[in-house]
Amino acid sequence: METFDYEFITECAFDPEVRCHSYKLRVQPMACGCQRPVSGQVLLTPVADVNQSVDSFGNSVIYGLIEDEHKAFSVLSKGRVECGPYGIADPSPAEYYRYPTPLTQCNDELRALAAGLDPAGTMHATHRALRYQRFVTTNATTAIEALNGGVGVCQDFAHVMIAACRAAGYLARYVNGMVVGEGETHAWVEVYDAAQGLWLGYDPTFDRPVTSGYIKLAHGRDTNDCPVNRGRFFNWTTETMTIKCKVTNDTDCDIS
Amino acid sequence: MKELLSARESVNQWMQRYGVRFGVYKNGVFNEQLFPFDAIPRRIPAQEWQMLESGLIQRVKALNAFLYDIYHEKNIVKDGVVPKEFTYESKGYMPECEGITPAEDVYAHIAGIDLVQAKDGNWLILEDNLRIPSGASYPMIARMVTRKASPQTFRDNLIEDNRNYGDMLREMMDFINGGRGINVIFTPGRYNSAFFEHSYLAEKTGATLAFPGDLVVEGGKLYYKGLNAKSRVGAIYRRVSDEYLDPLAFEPSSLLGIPNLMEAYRAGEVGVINALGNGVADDKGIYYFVPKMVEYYLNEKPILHNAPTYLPFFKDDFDYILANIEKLVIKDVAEAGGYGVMFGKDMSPEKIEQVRKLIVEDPRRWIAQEVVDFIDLDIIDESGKPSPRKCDLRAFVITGRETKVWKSGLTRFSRNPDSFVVNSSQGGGFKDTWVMA
Repeated sequence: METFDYEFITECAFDPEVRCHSYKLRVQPMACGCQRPVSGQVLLTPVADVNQSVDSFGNSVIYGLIEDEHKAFSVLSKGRVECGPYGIADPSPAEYYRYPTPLTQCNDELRALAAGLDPAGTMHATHRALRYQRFVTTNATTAIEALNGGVGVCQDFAHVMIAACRAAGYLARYVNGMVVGEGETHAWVEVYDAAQGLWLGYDPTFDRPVTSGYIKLAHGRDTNDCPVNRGRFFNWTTETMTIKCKVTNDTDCDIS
Repeated sequence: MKELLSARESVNQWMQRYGVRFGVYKNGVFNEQLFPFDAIPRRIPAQEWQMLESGLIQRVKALNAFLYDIYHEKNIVKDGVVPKEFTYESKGYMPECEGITPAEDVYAHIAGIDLVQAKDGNWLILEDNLRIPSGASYPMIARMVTRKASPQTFRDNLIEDNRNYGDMLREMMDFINGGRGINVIFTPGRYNSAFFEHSYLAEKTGATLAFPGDLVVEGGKLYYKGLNAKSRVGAIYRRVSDEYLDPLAFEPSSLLGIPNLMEAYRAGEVGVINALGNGVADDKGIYYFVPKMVEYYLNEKPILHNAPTYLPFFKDDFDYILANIEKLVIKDVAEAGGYGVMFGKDMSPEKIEQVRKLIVEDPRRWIAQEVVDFIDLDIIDESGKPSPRKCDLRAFVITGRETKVWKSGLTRFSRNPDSFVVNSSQGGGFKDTWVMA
């Protein structure tokens, strides 16, 4: 067992101010097999209507409404989690992770990417097929478009690998989370290992299997199922959003 | 009857006045057209109706049981009755609805079941509409207007009264509401093809007609924002499709939706009519399996049958279809509204080859059906003479505490005498449907 302290901050600024702002957040570490939240809190500014739920994918959701006019909205989620070796036991994984979504439609190039390869091989192939570059793709870029363009960010790496793995017959899902040493949220992939009955993690952006130092926030079929922050408000406005996070391995507190 | 026919001028004027229209989007342009009414009613004898009624109730009960099962235990898939390709891979299946139990376990509160009567007298199911079936307002208005134009006709004929549709809806909405708040009908607005119906049904049910922006989720509950105060909403009959219903759960670019409605629904704080995710039970692929659902869930023999249907997904059917395309209708399972329907008899040899290739490439995407020779009903054409048209019937089945069939329905006819496509998006008109007492 390792213990990690995490801090996630997202800040939205609106100019001019907005009102009737509905929000939906997935910013708390999941409780799942290899990961156990020890303590945690979520602070919203302005203080808002706050409600908790768990969505159909098993993600913790915080949602609510801020009726009054405001120029800023910020979320701080911080706490401590205990993590074992990455791998999530699941005796009956959901079948819907087998099929393409609009963002993970498949084509011949994607099929070719995974042909004859296991998930680790598909991860290597994905990493070779894409170059990390910001501001080229958007959050609506599909796996096919990302592979055609040959560039993208972690979300695109994950979508390409997911589409290719599903084409090869694997159950695969998209994960949002935080990584030790990274200042922003990250996305990676889980593929179901039927022999072990485990979801195993793969990080096609860094081309490495997910072992330690990955804090999982949410998962789904693709990014649309599990965005960390989604909102809807009234007014013609310009929104600027920043996301920062920090994960530290707090070995001093490791009592295992 | 004669009197009714001679009154058809005044009937059509009334229709104009009520604005009985049907909007159609074509090439990005919104056109509103009158939905032409033909004064000769379809008559269904009492005994025949009883059979239809019990068959429809049975079918809708099975469909509701299927929807509950698919979003919970999935026994019908585990038991091999429905292949998983026709559930999880269906466009209408929504994993976002997994584990949600709607109020009173009802999914398909308002089902529009389309039937045709074959020349041998048998009724066959063409399709089930479990998402937002529209069209009930047309026969409601037609009956009101024809009663006005020719009261004698309704004294001389023993016809079941159909003016209770609003009451049936209200009774169901109140049951689903459970006293949590008001009932609303949520419309996407003026430029929706069925806006006329939304406002008409609000009037007939006493529900509040709500537009985008009128509804808000706060504290996990749904509210209607009136002029002065917010009112809690207990049941929402929404006429907005699933993917636009909540921009924080589905299509983020939707301007119509109600943010976090999905959460209020998940928490059981509001009844959503019809439930989300119903598309998994009414696409053209799952249709094939509905008679099997009747046997599986109700342990009964289906009273009403499907039109003879083949799934290229199954090897035997695949071979049969490829050898017989010329005489079959090929349908794209993902399309609706009369689109994606191809008649083998109308295809050139090149087109047949093309369709054959499409089926080989993606068998799951297609179904094939025998062309059913269904009965013609006479209409009065432009020249004032009787002229036969193909007709179907949409029956409305309402499920609240019980499942009931509205003793009427929407009879639609094709625009041209030689057309088999009966759909309001494709031209054509409608008749009143008389269920005889």
